[in-house]
Amino acid sequence: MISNLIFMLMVAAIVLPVYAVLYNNFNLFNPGLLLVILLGSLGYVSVGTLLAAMTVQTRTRDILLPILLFPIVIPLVVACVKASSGFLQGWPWSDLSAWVNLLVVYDVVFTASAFMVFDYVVEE
Amino acid sequence: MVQKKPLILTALDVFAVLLLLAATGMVFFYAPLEAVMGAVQKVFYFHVAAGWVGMIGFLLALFAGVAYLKTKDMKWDIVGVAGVEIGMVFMLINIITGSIWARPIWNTWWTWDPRLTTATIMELVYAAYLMLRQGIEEPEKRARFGAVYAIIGFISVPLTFLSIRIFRTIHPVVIGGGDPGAEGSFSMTPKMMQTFMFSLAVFSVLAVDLIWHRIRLGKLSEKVEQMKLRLEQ
Repeated sequence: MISNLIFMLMVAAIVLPVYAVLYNNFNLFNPGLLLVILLGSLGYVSVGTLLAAMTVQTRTRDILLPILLFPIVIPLVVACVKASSGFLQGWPWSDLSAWVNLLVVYDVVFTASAFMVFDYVVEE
Repeated sequence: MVQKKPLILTALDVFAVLLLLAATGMVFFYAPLEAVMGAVQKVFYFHVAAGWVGMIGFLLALFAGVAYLKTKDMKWDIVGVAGVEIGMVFMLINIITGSIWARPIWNTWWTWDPRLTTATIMELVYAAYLMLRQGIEEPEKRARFGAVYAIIGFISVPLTFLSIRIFRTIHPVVIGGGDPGAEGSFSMTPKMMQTFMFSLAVFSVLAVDLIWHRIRLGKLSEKVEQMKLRLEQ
């Protein structure tokens, strides 16, 4: 399980610079944006790792991963888009808090449940 | 070798059909016409009942998934598939009847409203579940992954709903407080309430009947698979 965690963190470390390059035109040192990136990639990685571990063992692995992943990460993506645009445009916290809360809830719920079921995916 | 159909299941079949006829009769002849929306409002009774049964099916799949991972008993896998398939059919009925209602009331068949979007995503999740099962050959692994995905999928549904709930909805909430932005809201008279509750009960009976059939079918196909394996050896 620890190796899985390290793997997840490694993926996050790869994902973060990619985000940084993609958001090159913006002020990267916005702490709110960094928070959103961190929370967003944590949630995405925890679900993505779990589903990827499942799909590599199936016959139609190339198509199956996006099909499985997309409906699950929709709330995360919606919250990330909303929260990061909010931080970049300097919304007041009262407008932002709902989206940031959703991000945190998503991360907690899915990291926890992914940890709980991951053993069943990798067992042989 | 093959199990005979239990008598109580046959009875339940007949009972469910009779109840469904009774519910249809009640919707058309017992429930009063809604003052503003007219006859199209009658679709509401089966719309909500189908959505309710769809959720029950998915919830059953969630519990079956947890039970399978705990016990590794193949019967829970069969129950899970039954739940997902029946749930999907009823969610589709829910969406289609909703469309029929929305055409005259919202003046469109479809709109990207939170409720509607959530229902669509839910259908997508469970369509993905069925595709995942298609892609795995070994029954044991198929059951394990199916269980995991049923759990993860069901958790994501309320979160999706929450994520778009933050936007405001135009879908009416008939039971327990309404959103002021909702279009096509109404309050129920006692006769409507009775019809509504009756359709809920009828659809629940129907769902139990169908799920039972699906579980029997699953057991039968498992047997066929085992026989095929024995033939090949």
